[in-house]
Amino acid sequence: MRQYIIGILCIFALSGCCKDESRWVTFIGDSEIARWDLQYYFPTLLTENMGLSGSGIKYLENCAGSINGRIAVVLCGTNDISAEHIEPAEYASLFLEAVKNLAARHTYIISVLPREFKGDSVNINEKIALLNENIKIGADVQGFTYIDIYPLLLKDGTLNRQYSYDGLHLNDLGYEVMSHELKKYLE
Amino acid sequence: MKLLLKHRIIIVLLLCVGYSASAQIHIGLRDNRYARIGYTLKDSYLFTLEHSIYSEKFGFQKARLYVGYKHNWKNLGIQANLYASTLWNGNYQDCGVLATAHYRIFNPWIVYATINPHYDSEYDYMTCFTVATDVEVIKGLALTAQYTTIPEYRLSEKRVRAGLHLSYGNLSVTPLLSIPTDGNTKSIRVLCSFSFSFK
Repeated sequence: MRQYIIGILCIFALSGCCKDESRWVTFIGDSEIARWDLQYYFPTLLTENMGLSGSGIKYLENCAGSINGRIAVVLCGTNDISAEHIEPAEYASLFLEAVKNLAARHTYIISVLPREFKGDSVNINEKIALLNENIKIGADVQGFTYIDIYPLLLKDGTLNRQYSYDGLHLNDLGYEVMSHELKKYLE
Repeated sequence: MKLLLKHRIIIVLLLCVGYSASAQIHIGLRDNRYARIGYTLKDSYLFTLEHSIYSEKFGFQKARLYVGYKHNWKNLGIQANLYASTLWNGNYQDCGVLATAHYRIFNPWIVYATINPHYDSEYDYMTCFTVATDVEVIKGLALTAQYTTIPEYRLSEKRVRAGLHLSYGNLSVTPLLSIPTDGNTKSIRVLCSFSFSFK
């Protein structure tokens, strides 16, 4: 029995010689990322949570270079797009530039999620849909992988309240849907 | 080759199970997501096989083998387990030691400490630990509080865990609330473990 145990430990020690930093997956973005229990939903991955509640494109710009060589999952934009003066096409271009500057080995962009929050303008989800269209086109050009969660969370043109208690942040069921979709790409 | 090695380990384990009468088998669940079956030989030698039940494809499930030893004196008990695990798709492996000592300070009050040198083939080496205390309120019901850095899944997190130890006959159940100390309330977890022994 002792021989087997020593053998197993040797195999593991040798396999550790090839430590690979590039296998880390860094999740970056706003509160939807910050509130995501990554260890629970992705128990076999090496994950890092760089979500910041209330953040937007400025935060991504400030993080330029910080994901160097790792895999990035980006979900950001809902805090910015709710402001009246933001133009989706212009914003998508700035957003993609900020994502590019993160310098990740590969980047997965999750679509901005639908919302139905207190004080939102009536056309907020049309604006988000337009923003997502622009991000998708730009992501294809840049070589990023675009993951379209938006339609999965939609009901009657707005956020399906089954997936959120407050109309903005996802609940466990919402995270289950998003994680299930993302796993198809990450694994 | 890898598969052959796993088969050999399982055969050795089954042979151990088969050849002693002074033995005990237990089955159970750890932290909601790890099913386990174990065998205790002569009240001291421990063999446990654990398998994850993640909501993942089979290749991403994790199998872990523990081999250990325990001994109790009057108020002091020690237990050491060597473990090694792998995902079935071979993405990563880990191994380490879980060394625990528990001491009964006076009758209803026990303190525990566990040290866990842990090696992950991708993450590299880390040293984790748990300190815990149990207070038995009535027979079969104890309150427990823990501070731990031992991974609940793969990566080390600083967590406070509080809950109950319930035992009745050969069954013990441990529901726990696991709260991260970094203030991220979203990752509060409700964990349940149970074990049933066939004596």
